[in-house]
Amino acid sequence: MAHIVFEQVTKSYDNGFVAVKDLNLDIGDDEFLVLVGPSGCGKTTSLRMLAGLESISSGNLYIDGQRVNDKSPRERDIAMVFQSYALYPHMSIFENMAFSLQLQGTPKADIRQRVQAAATQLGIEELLDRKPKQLSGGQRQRVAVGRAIVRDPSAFLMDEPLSNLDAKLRVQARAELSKLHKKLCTTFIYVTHDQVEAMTMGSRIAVMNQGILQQVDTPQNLYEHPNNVFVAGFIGSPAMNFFKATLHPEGDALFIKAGALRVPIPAAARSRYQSYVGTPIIFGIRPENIYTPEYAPPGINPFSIEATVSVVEMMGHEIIVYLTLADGHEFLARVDPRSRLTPGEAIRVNLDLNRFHLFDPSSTHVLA
Amino acid sequence: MQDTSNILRLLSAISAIIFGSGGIIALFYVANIAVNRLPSQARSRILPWVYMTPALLVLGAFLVLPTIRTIIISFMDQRSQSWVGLDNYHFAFTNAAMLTAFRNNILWLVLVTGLSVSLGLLIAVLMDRVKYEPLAKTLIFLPMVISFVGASVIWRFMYAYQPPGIDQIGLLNAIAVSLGFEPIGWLVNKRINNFALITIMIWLQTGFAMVLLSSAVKGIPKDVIEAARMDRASEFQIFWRITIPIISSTLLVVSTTIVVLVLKVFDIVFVMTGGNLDTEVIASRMIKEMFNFRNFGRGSAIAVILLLAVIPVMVANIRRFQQQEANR
Repeated sequence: MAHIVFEQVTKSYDNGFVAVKDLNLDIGDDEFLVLVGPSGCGKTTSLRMLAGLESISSGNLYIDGQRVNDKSPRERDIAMVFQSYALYPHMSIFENMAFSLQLQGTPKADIRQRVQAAATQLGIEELLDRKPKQLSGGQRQRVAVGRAIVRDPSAFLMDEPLSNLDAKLRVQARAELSKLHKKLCTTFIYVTHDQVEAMTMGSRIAVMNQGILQQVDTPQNLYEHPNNVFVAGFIGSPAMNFFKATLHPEGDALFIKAGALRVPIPAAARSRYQSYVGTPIIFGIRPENIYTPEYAPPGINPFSIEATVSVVEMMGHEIIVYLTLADGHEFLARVDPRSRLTPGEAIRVNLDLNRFHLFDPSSTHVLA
Repeated sequence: MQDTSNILRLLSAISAIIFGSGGIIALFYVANIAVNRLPSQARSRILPWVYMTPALLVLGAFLVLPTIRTIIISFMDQRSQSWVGLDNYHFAFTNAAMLTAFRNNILWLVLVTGLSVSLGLLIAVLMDRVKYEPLAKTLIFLPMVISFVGASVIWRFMYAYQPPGIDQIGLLNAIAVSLGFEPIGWLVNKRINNFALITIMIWLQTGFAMVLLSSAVKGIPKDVIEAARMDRASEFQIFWRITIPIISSTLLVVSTTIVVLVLKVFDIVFVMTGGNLDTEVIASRMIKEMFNFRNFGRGSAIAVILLLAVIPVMVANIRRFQQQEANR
């Protein structure tokens, strides 16, 4: 168990490129924190700085209150699972898992027992005599995790450990890692570019973009209350629809005007946005908050708009439909699979006005 | 007169190249056409032989037959006229000069192989972290392209000796004298002359070892080294327990190649000391028996001994290679 604190941590390279900028992050004892973002966002660099594989340009990194900036990886008591698994090709699986313990001078009987226990836990007992190249991708991934578990480290770092698995195996491995975290009750820091992995596994998620931490929160809160346009667009699939808009007062009411779209702001929220009247804003609504009228569930705050169907993607459990407004603006909706939709047809869809987001286009922050 | 004969010689060399390689191409071309006319089942069985036969014939004529003949001659007398049993071998293993040659060769084997491989490995690993790696590596690799004879000529100047009081033209002695020491007879002092010769070979082979080992070291995935670091291994432990085992097959190939080269070494000794002053090695001994003393029997026996000495090395190499193939 480790309490990890990033304090204004920055990584910049000789050529001036800043990979991570002023990262502040407080990771609790038994947390499963997921670092997520598009490639090149600095998530892996942050993880590697924590591992000690990458130097820290400025700022402080603390593990359990101790500043570790200048400590080597071996002094940090942290285990890491690599994307490539990085198993030692010349060693058997047993030796791979035992390597770290051997270096520590752990008694042989103890090593045997711990490796055996970890292997049993991961279901790889019968592979212990094999070499890494005789294993399948899924098996190698387990060994890589096993190698980390055996050490009983104070924190686990994982750098996209599932990205080399096929889709089915990935779902299974996801659940297994979550179970493992519950069992071990240790700090897990997990890097991924896949927001589904982030949402399903993380007890908290840190979203990064271009070296800057965008938002840290529970999956639920990230989804419901994104801080800015990037987080709103990154979390959720398909991504949130955005419309360039302005706020217009009409009598008592307040309208969002975006091209052909004219959406009234519900009375309860009106006071919140009063001060933004006349300024440009971004109106965002998730595809799953747009319904075909026949299948709209109760409890939403429907507002009907007209749009033309351009593409229909039948997924089985849902339909993803590409819709076009009269002004040509395209947006997506995730609707009930029973909906009858034909490309080219003009239909009416209901927006749930309990669930929309307004952002400031210059700062991209959410309007509060 | 001189000019025309030179031109003629040039022309015949060019025509030899054209007809030689053209002939080979024509040979394969014709053979290929012939095989293609065969029914397809026979074709796949015969085709490999069509390509391999010329090479096998050449190898047989210029390698296998002479080897067999050498073995036979090694059991015959000086003029290859009568059988002498194991006399030549008896000579080879008892004669004082031969024993010196064996001792020297073992010295060569151990020192050249050991030092050029370990220096090459050290440089390969260290260079991996150096900014001017390509330049530094080029400098170390450079001797590799110099022939043994050329290198020997260079080192003759390095080791050149003048009696005390006269200006030293040899680099090493110039340094020794300027530091206030007596000039050293690098090539005549029996205690150091073998090491002086061995140094040349090490200078030549370290670059070769370095280039191969460096590419093997670079071939180790960065992740694996980092994983070892995360597993709390020190850089020293990483070197011994990760780097060395992973590049072990390259290490073996480099070592065996150098071993074979050292067993064959002759030019350096020939140019530097002519094998005098206890610097003889087996190969230089062989040349002497064969061409200076015209004793074909003894010369052949020494050649056979050299051949036998190389065999275990080749077996180790081939076995390793097969293992690697099987592991693939």
